[in-house]
Amino acid sequence: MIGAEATADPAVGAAAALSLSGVDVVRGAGRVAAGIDLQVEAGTILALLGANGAGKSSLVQAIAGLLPVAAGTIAIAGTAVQDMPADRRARLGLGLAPEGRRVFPGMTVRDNLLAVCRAGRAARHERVASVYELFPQLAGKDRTLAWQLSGGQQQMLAIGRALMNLPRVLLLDEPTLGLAPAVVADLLERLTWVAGSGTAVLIAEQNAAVVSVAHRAAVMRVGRIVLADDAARLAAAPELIERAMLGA
Amino acid sequence: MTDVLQLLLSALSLGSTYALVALGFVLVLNATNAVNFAQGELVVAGGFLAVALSPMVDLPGIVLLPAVMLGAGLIGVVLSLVAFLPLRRRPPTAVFISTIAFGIIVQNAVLAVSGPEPATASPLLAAGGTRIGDTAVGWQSLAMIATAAALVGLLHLLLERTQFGRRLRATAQDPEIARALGIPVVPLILVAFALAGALAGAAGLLVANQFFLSPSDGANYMLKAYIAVVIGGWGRTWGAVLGALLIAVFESFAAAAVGHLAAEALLYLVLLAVLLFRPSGILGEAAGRRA
Repeated sequence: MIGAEATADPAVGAAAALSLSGVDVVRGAGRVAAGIDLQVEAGTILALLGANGAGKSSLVQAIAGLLPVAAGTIAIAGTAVQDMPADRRARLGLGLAPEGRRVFPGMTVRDNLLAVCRAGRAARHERVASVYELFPQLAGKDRTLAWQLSGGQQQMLAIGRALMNLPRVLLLDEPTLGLAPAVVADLLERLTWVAGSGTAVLIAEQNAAVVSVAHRAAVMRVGRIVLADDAARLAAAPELIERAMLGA
Repeated sequence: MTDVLQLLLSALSLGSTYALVALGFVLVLNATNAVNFAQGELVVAGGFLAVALSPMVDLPGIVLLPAVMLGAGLIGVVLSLVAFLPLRRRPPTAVFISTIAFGIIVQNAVLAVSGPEPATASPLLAAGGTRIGDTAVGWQSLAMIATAAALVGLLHLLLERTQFGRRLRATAQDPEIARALGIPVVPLILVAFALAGALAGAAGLLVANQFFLSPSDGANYMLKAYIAVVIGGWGRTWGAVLGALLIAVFESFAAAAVGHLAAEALLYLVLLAVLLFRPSGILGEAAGRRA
């Protein structure tokens, strides 16, 4: 099934799958994230909550290598990656389901999945089958061009595409945006399966519903983490999240 | 009626070679966003390679095709190593200039080796032709069309059925995300330039029998490829083929009606009109980017 690549090195196993310390992100003239410390352990889900403009997306892009990091360190399984180009980070085990899905619109569902996969031919097609097991809706759309899919299906494709190289860390930027509540619930349940197979999952969201499937949750406001706790505790006190998100 | 068929045949044979040149141009454009202005000179290099090899083997020109494509493909790789990779983080104009400069070097190298005289290579299969009804059909024209069609078909399979093709299409559609998902960029660039060179070289071999080829012809092929890509939609692979065929048909028929010089002028007027009224090409732009 889809899951984290087994690591032979025991020293690597000791470090968190994804670890940020003191990360600053500058976009244009503004500091959009400052002094961010975060850890995501293998097999767990971190919900990174924040209102529009809180800096979550910029942070996700900085982790993926799409925005430069102005200060601090980002480590994937103990390897510092903040100065590496995006494609090297991907090869170290980062999978990205970007904001707005960004599927390759003129390619079929299968080709979207195959294109990014670095495994050999047989393994590539097996992994497509695994993605179809995770998201059965995609199986029937094998030969459909990605732009013709519904929003929910495109989101599944974006996630499936990010899983094609069995990443240690899966980054999801606003995966529930624009999806119907039933579709959101289904998607979140499937993300728990992904984490269950050993992948560290970071979900950046405005939608606090993701806390229900997360192990840890952190809230960002104007570029800083203002609240971080066990997800179970925060799920029991939604007013805490709301206050932290809005700064009321 | 006979005249129309005759014209159409010569237009298609010319258009199919333009199509190969334009396809190579679009491949590089899609893989790298680079506008490769050396593409026309690669046609000339391939053509003169065919001219040089022709007397050495007493065989039809088609057997030279792999060697010519390989040679021109290698020049394409050198082009990417010298004029593109070191400059790819600079503004696009740097690559315009460096590819133009590389093209000038190629042109002068051809001039130094072969001299300024126009030359011709062996026919692809055989000289002469046959008649269909009242229309004289040259073997060379037919062979040009068939060879180009076969190459376009192979390229189609490469793009649609192979992992290289998927990666190239993904990179063309969203370079940032393709990169963030780990698609390696440099191998893609090298192969795209090699293919562009090989296609240009093949076009050189195809035209070098029916038309005299001279070392200064590169600019003409470059312009035709560029116009084909603009008309077919910037970055659209199959639009480039369509654009190439359209301009060859237009050129041939206009030349028959009003003469070569006026036909050329009319072609540029049509280009201006397309840019004014349909700036994203007849089929529309592939990804909304333009050099």
